[in-house]
Amino acid sequence: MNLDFKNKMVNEFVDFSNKLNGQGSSRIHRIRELAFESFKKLDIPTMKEEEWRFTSLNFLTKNDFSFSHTQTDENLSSEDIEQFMIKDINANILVFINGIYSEKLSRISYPRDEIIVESFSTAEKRNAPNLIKHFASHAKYENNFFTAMNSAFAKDGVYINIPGGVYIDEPIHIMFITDSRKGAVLSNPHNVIIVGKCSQVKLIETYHTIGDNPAFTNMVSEIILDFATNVEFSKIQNDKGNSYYIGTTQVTQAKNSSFTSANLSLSGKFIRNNMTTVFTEENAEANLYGFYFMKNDDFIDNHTSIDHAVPNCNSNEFYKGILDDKSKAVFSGKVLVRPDAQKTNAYQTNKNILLTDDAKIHTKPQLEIYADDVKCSHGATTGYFDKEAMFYFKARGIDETMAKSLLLNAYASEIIEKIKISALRDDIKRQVAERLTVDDIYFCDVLGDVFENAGIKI
Amino acid sequence: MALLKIENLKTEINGNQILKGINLEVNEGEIHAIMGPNGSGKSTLANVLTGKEAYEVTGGSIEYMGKNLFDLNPEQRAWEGIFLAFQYPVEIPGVSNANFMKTAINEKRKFQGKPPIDAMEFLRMMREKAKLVEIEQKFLNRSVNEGFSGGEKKRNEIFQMAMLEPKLAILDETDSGLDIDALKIVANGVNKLSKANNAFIVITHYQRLLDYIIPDFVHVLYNGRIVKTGDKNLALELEEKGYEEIKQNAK
Repeated sequence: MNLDFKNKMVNEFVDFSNKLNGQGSSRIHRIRELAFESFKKLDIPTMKEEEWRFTSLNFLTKNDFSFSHTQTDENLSSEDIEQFMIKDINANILVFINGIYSEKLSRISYPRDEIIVESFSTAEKRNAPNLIKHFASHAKYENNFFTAMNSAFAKDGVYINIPGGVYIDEPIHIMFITDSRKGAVLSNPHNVIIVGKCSQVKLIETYHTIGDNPAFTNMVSEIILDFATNVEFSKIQNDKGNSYYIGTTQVTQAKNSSFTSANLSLSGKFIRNNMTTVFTEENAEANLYGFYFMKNDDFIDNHTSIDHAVPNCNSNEFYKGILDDKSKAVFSGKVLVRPDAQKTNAYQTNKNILLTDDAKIHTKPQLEIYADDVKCSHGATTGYFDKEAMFYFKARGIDETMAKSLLLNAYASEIIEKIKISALRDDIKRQVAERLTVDDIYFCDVLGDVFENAGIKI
Repeated sequence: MALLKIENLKTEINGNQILKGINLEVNEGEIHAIMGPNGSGKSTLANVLTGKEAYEVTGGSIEYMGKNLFDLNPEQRAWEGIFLAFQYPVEIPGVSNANFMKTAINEKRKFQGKPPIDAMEFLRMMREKAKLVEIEQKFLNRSVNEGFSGGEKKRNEIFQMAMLEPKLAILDETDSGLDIDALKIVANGVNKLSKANNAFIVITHYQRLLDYIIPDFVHVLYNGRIVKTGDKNLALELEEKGYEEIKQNAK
């Protein structure tokens, strides 16, 4: 099958616009139309382009994706999606099926009216002024095929608007589920998250597939931080289905704000993560953490981009990977330090462990530094296991297989520990430990429980 | 039957001959000290006994409990009760001391056909042994040797020794870099662990440690050979005269 994916989408737009039921004349739709104009002029990136050098997009022409734009949660119940829930977490959960919000399956509880956590389409219907202001103004569509496509077809996603001075304790879990039981599905969810001055919020993003047909999620999230805002964003990717994911997270940071992202990828046929943050005002900080643990024929491409547009900001990127079987990973970390961005601190590290000879990593730092009073560094290591450490284990009676299991868990935990939501952190730890378990290894946490149950303080 | 019998052991590393024919017999209940100037082959001996690959054995034999030691890989040697307190213990970030010990103990028990150690029993054991080397309990959840001073790392080696209850314990210059207080703690630990059915080989450059761990035999290793054997008084002699006389006589 050799379909012209782009032409198909171009033709879809008319049908899409007609089915909008009155929203076809909204301010938001004006923006969608502009994005569509850009989309028409762009083409699917080829591997000749720098940003896609190691990443093939063949799957777009090999599958016949149908773009779903109607409510499709009738065939799913809470039991069906229970498996995707994070154990023992107290969170507000927004569930999207094929990119459309499902009130039935979601659980939001905000007693205070001024905290807005709703679906994009609800916000559009009431012409939410901040949605209109921010939608597609941060993640630029003019030169980006997938952002243009997303913005042209963005019908739903999450709209969060948190006023200043608010500390939200329970995380907000945004869950995207593709139901591909009846055929290949493409969805374009768009999220706009605005967080006010001195407010704090924790976000979790996950995506899953039900069904065997291909599922393509093309997601864009725009996260806007105000003065002294603190946002923790955890993106967990563990979908074992026939799924393709391209996700762009575009963050804008104001003065004194702090953005921490932990992107943990444990499974995925095709993943491309674009994580971008821009410092628009001074004294802001960004910490981007990533851990990918791929196997079989998994593919993951992590592209990050940090723009030090102003002075006195700090950024720190730390991505670690474990690649097994024939899996392949790409890491490309761009850091731009503009001419006036003095007193910038920007650090970037990418570490990889290859468990087989067939596993592959392409790692590429891209530091463009135009200011002179800065501290920047980057490093990438790819390797196997530390020989001295391995011998220490053996000398204590722990063989190579068991030692690797302990060492890999230790290696992974450096990033997993960055997740501050304890229920989520424990869930990931358990999943990673299970993949690395040889016989019965009791990890430290289990020991901690034993101590606690015995009423013993360490 | 001797616990350990080394006969005419010769080793090479990177084409250089280090041990040139070592003969040594260690029986249960004995403490042997091996002293010698730097470069004499002391650490080589320790590493060959634990089975570190880089060291190539070019001649001789080692019998441990009647078995050919070269038939056993490092893990098997550990299960059979050989323990090395490393001179430079490695840091293992992310693996806790508790986890490390529990895994080591359980691997040995698996080899012995025993079930994994009971959690409460393990906990009790850890607290007991931590007291022996005066280590605080909160260190148990810290990563192995991470952020430890030199002295703390050496005490951790003795802690591990106490947990694993070896038959033949080799201390590779455990006293180097220790102040007198740390030294006393290490020595006290070793003395408490010394029993009629196990043995110790204490490798040291200085006599100081031997004021606290009284050896039954002192061997001087020079240029890859044991050139002199005596009792604890030999150590005192060396302290007084240094290694010069030994070196002269060996020529």
